[in-house]
Amino acid sequence: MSHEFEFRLDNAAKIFAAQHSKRRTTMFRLSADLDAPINLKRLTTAYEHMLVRCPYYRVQLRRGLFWYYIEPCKTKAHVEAESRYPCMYIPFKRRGMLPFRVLAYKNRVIFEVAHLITDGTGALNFLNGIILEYLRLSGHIIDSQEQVLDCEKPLDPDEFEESFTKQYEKGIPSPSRVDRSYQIKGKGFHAPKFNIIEGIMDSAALKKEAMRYDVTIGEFLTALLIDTCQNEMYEHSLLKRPIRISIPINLRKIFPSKTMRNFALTVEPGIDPRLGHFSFEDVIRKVQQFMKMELDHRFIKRQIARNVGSEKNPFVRILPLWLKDPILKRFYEVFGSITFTMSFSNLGRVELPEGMHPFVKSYQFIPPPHRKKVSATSIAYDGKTSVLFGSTIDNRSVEQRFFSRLRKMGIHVTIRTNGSE
Amino acid sequence: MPYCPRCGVEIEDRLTSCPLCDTYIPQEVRDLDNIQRDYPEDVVKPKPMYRELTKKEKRFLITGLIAFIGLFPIAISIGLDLLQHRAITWSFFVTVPMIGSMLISWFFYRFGKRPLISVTVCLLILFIINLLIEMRTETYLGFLSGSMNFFLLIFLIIEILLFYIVKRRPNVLQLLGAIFLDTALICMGLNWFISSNLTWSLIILVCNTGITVYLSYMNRTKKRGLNIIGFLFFDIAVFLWCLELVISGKMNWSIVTTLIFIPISLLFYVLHITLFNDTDWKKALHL
Repeated sequence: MSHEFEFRLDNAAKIFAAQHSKRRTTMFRLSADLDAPINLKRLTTAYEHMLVRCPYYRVQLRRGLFWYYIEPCKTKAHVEAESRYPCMYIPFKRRGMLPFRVLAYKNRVIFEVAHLITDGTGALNFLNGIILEYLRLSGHIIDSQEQVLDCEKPLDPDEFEESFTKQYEKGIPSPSRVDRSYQIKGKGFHAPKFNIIEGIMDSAALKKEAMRYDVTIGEFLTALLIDTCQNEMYEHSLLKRPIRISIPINLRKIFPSKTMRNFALTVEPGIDPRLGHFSFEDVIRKVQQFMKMELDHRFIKRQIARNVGSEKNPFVRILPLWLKDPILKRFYEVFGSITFTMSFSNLGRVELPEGMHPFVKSYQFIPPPHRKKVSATSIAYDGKTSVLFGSTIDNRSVEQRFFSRLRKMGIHVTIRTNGSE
Repeated sequence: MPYCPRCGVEIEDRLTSCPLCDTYIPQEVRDLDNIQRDYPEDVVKPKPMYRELTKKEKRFLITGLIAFIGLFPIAISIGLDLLQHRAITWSFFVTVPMIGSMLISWFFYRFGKRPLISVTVCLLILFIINLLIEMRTETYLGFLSGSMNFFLLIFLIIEILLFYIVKRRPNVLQLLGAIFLDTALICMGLNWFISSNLTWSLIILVCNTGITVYLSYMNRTKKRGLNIIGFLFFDIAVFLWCLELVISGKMNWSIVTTLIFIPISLLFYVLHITLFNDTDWKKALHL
């Protein structure tokens, strides 16, 4: 390998490596539907070319004495067949296991990746890179226009920088801790069962509805999710608790970074129904104000300071990995996952070079399965917005209320699911 | 695409109910936009010659078959015995094992996939057959004496092994280790029943434990190389040390063998770590 890249895991990856289990796989999926059935041989070649272009992804996880670390590996690229459930477990703590997989089904290219090595933006770049290379191998001449990863362009060292540490400033106070939030009730599924319900709607109709309240589509959908959870809580729970939606923020838009590794943090807008009932208009204003305040680079640096600061703590560093691993896992279960009601990852609109546009029909984004939780994602492409719910509980009332509300607003929704009935 | 009348959303054609609210969507509604499609008549399968039996009918049939195959020789032997002696004499020794075999066959048919039940019941039936025959021949000496001791011992050991297999689903190496350990336990039990103390069985225990530990190491180690040979020497050293303790109660020659084998073992481990290990220690020990 010509490039000597960072072997340390990034700050977010350290938590994901500890959490990794059959139930909480930390895998998420991005897929794109092309205009024609996939040629497996060509796709495998494109995948192989991308692995050469992005050596920072062709890695295996190794156990050190104090921390996990990543190491280049020579595992060959092979495209797998579609699985029964998405985001299934990869035992990537074993030697030679890549922490991601590429799958194909009819005319769909699927990229499933562990949060360990990248976030949604990095994964989308990689998937688009594979598609670009696949289309080029199919005989199309397409210019990447600097919008997607190009196999013909050389590797940029900035792509594998650890941006969290770069933005870390010592001495910044940590954000205040939040207490327990409302959890959606329901019986948990056994792994790997993961129910997917996807609603596809017209982006223009959604934007028109969001513009009525003078907010962005992301803020509108977040407010709708909060309001849906509020209605759910009033109907099913006697005990009122704050409702918070965990939203990952792409920090590349706030800080200058070209990294293809993790560089996202979450903010948690929400309401506290213990103070009284919030109308939908109130919820929208709360979300809008919260996002305006929290997406300030000074506020984000508080979170970076907390996360990187705890990693740099000498007591944490000196703890052997076999002790650190279960502690981190338990710590997240007790203090992390209960602070939000559900998560909502909004990848926004996918921008592609003009040459690629006619060949890509749609995108789908599936969140990683959380233990007994509902997670939502959103991705928009070619005038259509996909809002997808991934759930590990048998209660589908949040999804039902959410899509029915959209339908009542006059937005046509088409539902797709991975369930058989 | 059909609409769900309750949620108002469009759903996929293949679904029979709304994935959000489970409202059933009738076939006619789902077929509204598919009316023009031709139905592939040639795909319809021809009617089978025989009706497939239901689960209940199959169970009834097999139970009847087992009962017929078992009861037929029982009836003949009892009939002949009664004709000859006007009493049940030798036919008892046919009837009891035959009834036992029938029950074992039925249990294996019914619970074959659950060995913890089928094997346990099989062993219990064998135990009852043995008990009845001993009572009939007046060789029964009591519940915890004579052949009953051996039977209970073997029953217990097999059950432990079976429980381990069913609950842990071991691989070949683990299974071999468990069998070796189980054999040692059987030998210890036999030794105890025969001579009321543990003598030769302790040697078997030491041998088998050594093998089990070695197999367990082979199973647990992720990267097999010269470390396997290194552990073999270490295992032999410990085995000889224990063996001498068991035989003579003190340590003489085993100290010499330990002093020979342990450095050899260490040498293999050092070779394994330095020559054949690709671990980058700088990375592995980073803080």
